[in-house]
Amino acid sequence: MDPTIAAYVVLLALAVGLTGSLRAEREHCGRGLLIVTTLSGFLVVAAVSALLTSHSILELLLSTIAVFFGAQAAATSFLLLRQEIHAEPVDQPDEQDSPDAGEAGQRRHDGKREAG
Amino acid sequence: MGIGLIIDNAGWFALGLVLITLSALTHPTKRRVWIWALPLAILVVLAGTLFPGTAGDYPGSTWKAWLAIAALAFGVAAAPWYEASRDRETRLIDLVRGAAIVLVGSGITIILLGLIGWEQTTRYVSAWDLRLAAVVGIFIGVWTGLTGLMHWLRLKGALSPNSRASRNQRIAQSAVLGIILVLALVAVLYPAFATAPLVLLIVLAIEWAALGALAHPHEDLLPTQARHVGLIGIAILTLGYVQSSLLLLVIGGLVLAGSIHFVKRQGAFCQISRRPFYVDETRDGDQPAEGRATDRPLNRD
Repeated sequence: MDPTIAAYVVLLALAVGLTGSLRAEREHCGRGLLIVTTLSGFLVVAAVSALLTSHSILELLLSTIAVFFGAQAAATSFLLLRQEIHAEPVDQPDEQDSPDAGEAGQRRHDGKREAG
Repeated sequence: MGIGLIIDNAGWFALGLVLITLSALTHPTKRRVWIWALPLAILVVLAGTLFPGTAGDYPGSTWKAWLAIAALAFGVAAAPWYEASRDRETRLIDLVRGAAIVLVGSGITIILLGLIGWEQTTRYVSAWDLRLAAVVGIFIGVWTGLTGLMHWLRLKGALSPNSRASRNQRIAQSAVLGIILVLALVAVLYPAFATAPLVLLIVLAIEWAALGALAHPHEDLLPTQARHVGLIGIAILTLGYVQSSLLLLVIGGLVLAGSIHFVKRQGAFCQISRRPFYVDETRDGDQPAEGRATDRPLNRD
């Protein structure tokens, strides 16, 4: 690949990420990190292509292990992102505003402590 | 047709999906069903890469494609399947442990891909850029994987963290990093004598990464992991360059941008924003004792 084209593409992607798509309120920065961690699951694509183009048994073995660990990392990061998205305050009852919900939340918290 | 072009054929659709998903997910009022678009994008590219294999377009690659599918299935099954319930309280320790598992898996993948790249490119003496990419990949993989492993062991309680490194230790660590850089340069420029420098580089990188990860303060684990996510982005960039895939270059750039964004803005997580994180919290079963709620929490809200 031509290094100039590669450098242009990388700079463009960095600019898009820094100025547009990944900008968010501070509260949602963590979500942005987990989104890009999930995107890093594209490593598994590189591992699969290395497996398909392997020329020797050693390369085949190494790339198969790489695909296994890449898939595990990608699935784990997706699960972390799902957990973060499900914990959004928008989806939760507002504990401060509603006294019932607040008491329920407090009871749940106390119950957990006692169980521990 | 090169493998980069095969990735990019399906990659255009995946990239469009990823960009739409990014704008949807960073907007707090959008529906959370959009998260499924990210694995879908990866699956689209995987299908685009594997289909020529399963159809037998390369000689002898049909069984390799099935081997890849089996490895993918085993890898996904081996992931820790958390319960994503809005009633379940998630503590920071769960998040840090999950991120540590991601770092270990990605680190091992990057090391192995770097070794494969080295093995393939040492045949071409003129391809110094490919050797550089392989050495960078090996170093990033060792650093990231070891950091993830050390963090994971620390959270399991198997390792206790060092106190903050003294000035002399920091100087020694810088000297080791300098030696690593010299060894990398020798390995890239003189591939005929590269085996010994490369082995020494890996050993020194293991020592350097392990000592560095032990000295991280407990409350800085997550920002450190965010920095390593950026390093994974750089590794994806080098892989995109080696495999001539524009998609991997763009994804690497986006991952790097997300990591920079998080580290610069000290981002917070919704799932832990109301939950305390104690300095001595090390194990899953640890419950905060009464009266310790005044301890300094990690999240700086």
